[in-house]
Amino acid sequence: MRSCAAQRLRTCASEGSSPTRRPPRITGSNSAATATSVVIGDRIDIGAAAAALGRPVVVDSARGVAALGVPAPAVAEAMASLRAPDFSLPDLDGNLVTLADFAHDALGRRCPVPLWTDDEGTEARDAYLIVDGVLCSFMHNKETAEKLGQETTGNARAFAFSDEPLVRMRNTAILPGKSKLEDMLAGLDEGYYFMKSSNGQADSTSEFMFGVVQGYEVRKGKLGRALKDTTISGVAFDMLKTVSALSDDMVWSCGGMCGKKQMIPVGMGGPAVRCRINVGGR
Amino acid sequence: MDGNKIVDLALEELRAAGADEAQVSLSLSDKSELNVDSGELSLFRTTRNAQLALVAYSGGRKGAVSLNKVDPASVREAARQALALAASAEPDPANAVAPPPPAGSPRSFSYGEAEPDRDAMYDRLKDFIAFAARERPKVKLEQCILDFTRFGSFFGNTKGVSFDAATSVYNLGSMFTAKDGPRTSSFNGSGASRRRLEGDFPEWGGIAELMRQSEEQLDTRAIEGKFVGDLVVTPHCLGDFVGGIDEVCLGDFAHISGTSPWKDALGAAVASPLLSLRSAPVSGEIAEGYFYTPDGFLAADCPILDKGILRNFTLSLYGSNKSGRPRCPSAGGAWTVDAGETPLAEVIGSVKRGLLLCRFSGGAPSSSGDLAGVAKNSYLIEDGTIAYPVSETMISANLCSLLKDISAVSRERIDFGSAVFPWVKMGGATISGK
Repeated sequence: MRSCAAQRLRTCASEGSSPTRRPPRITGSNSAATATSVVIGDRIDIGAAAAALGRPVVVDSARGVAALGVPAPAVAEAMASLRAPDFSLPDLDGNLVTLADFAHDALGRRCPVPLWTDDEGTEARDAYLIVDGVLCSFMHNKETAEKLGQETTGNARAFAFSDEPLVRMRNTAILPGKSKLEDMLAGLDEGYYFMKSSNGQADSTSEFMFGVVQGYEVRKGKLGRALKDTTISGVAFDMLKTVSALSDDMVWSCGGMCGKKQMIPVGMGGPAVRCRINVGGR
Repeated sequence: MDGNKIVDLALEELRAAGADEAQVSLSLSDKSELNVDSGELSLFRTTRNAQLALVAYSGGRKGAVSLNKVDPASVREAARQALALAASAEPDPANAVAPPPPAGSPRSFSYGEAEPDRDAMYDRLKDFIAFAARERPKVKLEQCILDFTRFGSFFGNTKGVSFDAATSVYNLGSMFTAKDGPRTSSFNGSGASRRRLEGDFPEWGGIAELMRQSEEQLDTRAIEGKFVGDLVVTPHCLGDFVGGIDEVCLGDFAHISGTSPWKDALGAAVASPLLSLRSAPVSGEIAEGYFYTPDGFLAADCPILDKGILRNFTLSLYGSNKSGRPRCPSAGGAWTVDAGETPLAEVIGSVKRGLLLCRFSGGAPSSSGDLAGVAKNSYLIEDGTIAYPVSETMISANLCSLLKDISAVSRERIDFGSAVFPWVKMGGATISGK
């Protein structure tokens, strides 16, 4: 269960670290364990409230929002089981986009590119990237985990026998929401339904593009003309904030390749996402 | 390891297994590689590899097997598998192997150095890291790879074709971004290959200029609205366009499927007379040239577009047999675009409104040549002047139409080792911002 504050919080990852903003302050639940007064006059002491609930709290004073994290026992349980907890990235309206890089199983199903051990011999575990809207960790090999003082995740992967293992994704997915695809389309006054992509690229600025080889116009909730090849693009962190619905189903694909020095197959999945995006074409 | 003997052994095994015709190619590589990660030397390694490819034809059916073992037992098993695969294939009258070259033709080739100068590789790469840190302090060398790779290549078929080549090149590839506090530029990068460690690394593939641009691209702006304008396509970006033309108009797939917009245009003008595109694998102009084609013909330099006239497709023997159109004298690639007569500054100065397109992040072009994508590391040009670096700017155009609308080709070119390209000004692109 999430607090309203958590649903309003924009993540550190999506905001970047603007020099004009102070970074969010993360308070462990133990730090306020002795607090006894949660309500002070007509105000709430968030730190004390979090301590009383046994949950960490993230406070972004510049924006005036706070988020309660997963209780420590739940995190410990997830870590012990090597399974990812709920990674939730809330958009501006409190809609949750959930992101994860899975090792071998997700939602009760085997992933397209299951890994139990990576190519450095590390046991593969689900990568804890964003937990309750807070950027917590990264995909790691042994070296980067050591440098950042974090747990290894088993993301060191090599393709050919002569390749050195590189940090890279395995099975990365946006997890389903609660909307029905038909309702999502019916609610569109004017837009597009993109069904199948071709190649794509992402950038260090988080700008991305994908070719679209199958899709339709949507006019007043109905599918219209089929699209000729087109391209969509956006800035990922901005696009995620425009998500207004996620369908309750999900499709996995292993048709993608990570092209970081060596090409290697990766799994990728997600539901239908209603969002705002740039559409190319004449 | 005698590559010719391995090829001969494989051909014998394929015949013994029942092949009517067969071809075998073998590549033995020996690589010495230095890596830079995050601005620091992080890895030196040597790797050796063998790639053996067997192709068997039986009753017009084709079976192919690739492996990286060359011992006699593995070769025999691969030959058996190739015939088993052929037995389950559909017969195709277009399947064929190359005839022998004219008597007296050369069959052994070579270029490059026999051994890497590892000390020089290390010193030069250290100098390059120091250059980046000194001259472009905001540029972060994400990854840089310098390698020396020596290939022993061998080919034979049952018609008596036999080739071998001993080649080596130094390859430098560098990827970087500029960072300044929270500001980050787009990925950028370039590189080149050379037969010797000559020249300064920052000049290989125009890396130094891209580093300068990356610092400049920390501050980008989105273009307002949408307009039809010119593109000045840089040498770093032109390769994508040439590759797209090859895929859509010239190569096997486009002709076998019948989708090539140029399928009936051999000898006709398909591009501006300012454009001459050549495949030059044996000219010596291309460091990574080759001497014979993968299907067993002696390679020759050839024009693809000669002053805008279509002179050759890039069809293989199979593609030629399948489509009924002439085989390309080369195997494609090894591209050169002839230099023009206009200085780059004048090319840019002639643009009323358009983009200096330095990198194109786009989907594969459609079979009609339509393409759309994002202009990366690129600049808006207004009234002949570079105005500012852009972000979130998309381009839509048709490749074939762009080639017809070329109005200038620069005098300057960049030699990447695998290709030599100038700056080319093309009109009629739809450019859209936010």
